[in-house]
Amino acid sequence: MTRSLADIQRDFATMLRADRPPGGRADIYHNNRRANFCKALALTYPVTARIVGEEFFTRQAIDYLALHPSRQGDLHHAGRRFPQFLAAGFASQGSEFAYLADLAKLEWAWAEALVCADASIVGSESLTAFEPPTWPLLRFSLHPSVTLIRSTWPIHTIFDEHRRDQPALVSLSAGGEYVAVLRRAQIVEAHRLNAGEYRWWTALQSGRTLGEAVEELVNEPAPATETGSNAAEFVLRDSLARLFALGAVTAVTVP
Amino acid sequence: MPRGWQAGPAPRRAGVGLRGIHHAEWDARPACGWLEAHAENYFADGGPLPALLESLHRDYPLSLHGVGLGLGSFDPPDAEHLSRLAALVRRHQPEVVSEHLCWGHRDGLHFNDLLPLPFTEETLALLTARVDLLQSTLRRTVLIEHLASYLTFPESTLAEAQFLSELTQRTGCGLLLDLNNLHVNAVNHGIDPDAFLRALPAAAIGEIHLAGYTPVQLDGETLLIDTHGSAVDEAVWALYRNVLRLMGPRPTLIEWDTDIPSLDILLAEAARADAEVTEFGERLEPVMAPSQSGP
Repeated sequence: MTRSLADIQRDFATMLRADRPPGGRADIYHNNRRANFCKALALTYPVTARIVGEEFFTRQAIDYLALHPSRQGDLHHAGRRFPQFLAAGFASQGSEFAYLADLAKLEWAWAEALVCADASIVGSESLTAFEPPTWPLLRFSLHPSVTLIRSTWPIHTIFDEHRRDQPALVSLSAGGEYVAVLRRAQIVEAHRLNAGEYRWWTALQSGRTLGEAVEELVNEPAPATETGSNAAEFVLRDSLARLFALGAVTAVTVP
Repeated sequence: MPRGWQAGPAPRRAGVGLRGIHHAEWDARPACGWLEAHAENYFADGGPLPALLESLHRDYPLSLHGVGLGLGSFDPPDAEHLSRLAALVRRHQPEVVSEHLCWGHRDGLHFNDLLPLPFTEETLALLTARVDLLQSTLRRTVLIEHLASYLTFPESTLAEAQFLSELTQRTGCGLLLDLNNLHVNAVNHGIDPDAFLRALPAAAIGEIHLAGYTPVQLDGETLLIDTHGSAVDEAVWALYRNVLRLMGPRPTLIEWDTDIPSLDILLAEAARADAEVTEFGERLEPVMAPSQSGP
């Protein structure tokens, strides 16, 4: 019996997807697929992989592969749903790895920021083109690399520490953190924001005018779970200066 | 539609594969004949990766080596992948573009591996159409690399070298001859590497890969795995000398993908490839001009 190419590849695909290796030489392909996938996922999530260790990471990666097999020839995309997968697996607050999903969100944002489109940034001097009374009407276009993440865990501190050779212990009870991931001068960075800045950046990114973004901050009190009060932490002049200094703004316009 | 592989001016020295772990080491611009980058690693809308490639290409000839298209997949190639590859080639204008004689996806799922094909008329017809599509999309000829494999198919009716030769005639593509793959296949499948080399259309070979393999024991037999995780084996250097004798030098590249050492080690391997070419030239001299050789 001679199988068609279509059948040969379908049979091979079934073998590759099976939980157990089939035995014999085909095992090499069965193993390679998993090994390639785990290696690529660990490259996208180096801090997560380092924290949980190779054995645990590989187990998670194999389970993730079974649920979310790759649908592109470029394996860089394969990690897109890993944060959601970790959230589903470790979301209960009792789990020692409850923070992993948010950490992975940060790492995915990092990977995306590395390859997103180029855009030239503008400095705070771009404000001088507008009369101060019109400032509340201004809209800010943020750099395409900007991703804003909030977590009830100290993910920025965890991320920062575990990129060092000798990471210090991070207390998980240190409280939540707000992070802006972005690319500045071709280098991806993760900056910790305060609660007010996070809400304000989020409003600006969603297209609110400067005036609207500030108003929302003043009118909507932060949820009780958040550390620090918005009013105490947020000073518009400082936050504007930092937004521009971090290279987050590509255009300032009046609608 | 481009017809016929046209070798450009071959870089005089051997090159090495560009890997992320060495990006900073290239800042010093060490002497190297040329660079080959895995195309998918530079699929980016912007940022430092394409910028780095652009900057390196100002100082070294560049080859883009695709690993993810799965040309021989029964299902059509991913249109987005193909257009990203085309955009990358358009932006960087590399001296050489290559892909693999393999399949990689079925029914929407991608296995992200270089999977082996049966060598049949059906496969040949499919590959011919796919290489035509690739070459017309990229508006240039490409090199097609044969795989290292661990399985063969009882369905195969053609010898691999015959299949490759036919493919070059039908599409005008060139071949990327990977001598580590050839050695791995010789051990794994018991084929005669010299017969394979003699059956290939020498003029179509536009590039040679050299790399290391890893032996494993499986069910009481030794199999070689194409890991690119060690130095080029002496058996592969011997094949390289055979190729030099048979068809003369070709642009040669050192590949290293697992347990990657410092760039110096790769450059030393490339220097050895250069030395083999030089030695071959010296040895060949008396053969080509016997009347001038001394007593």
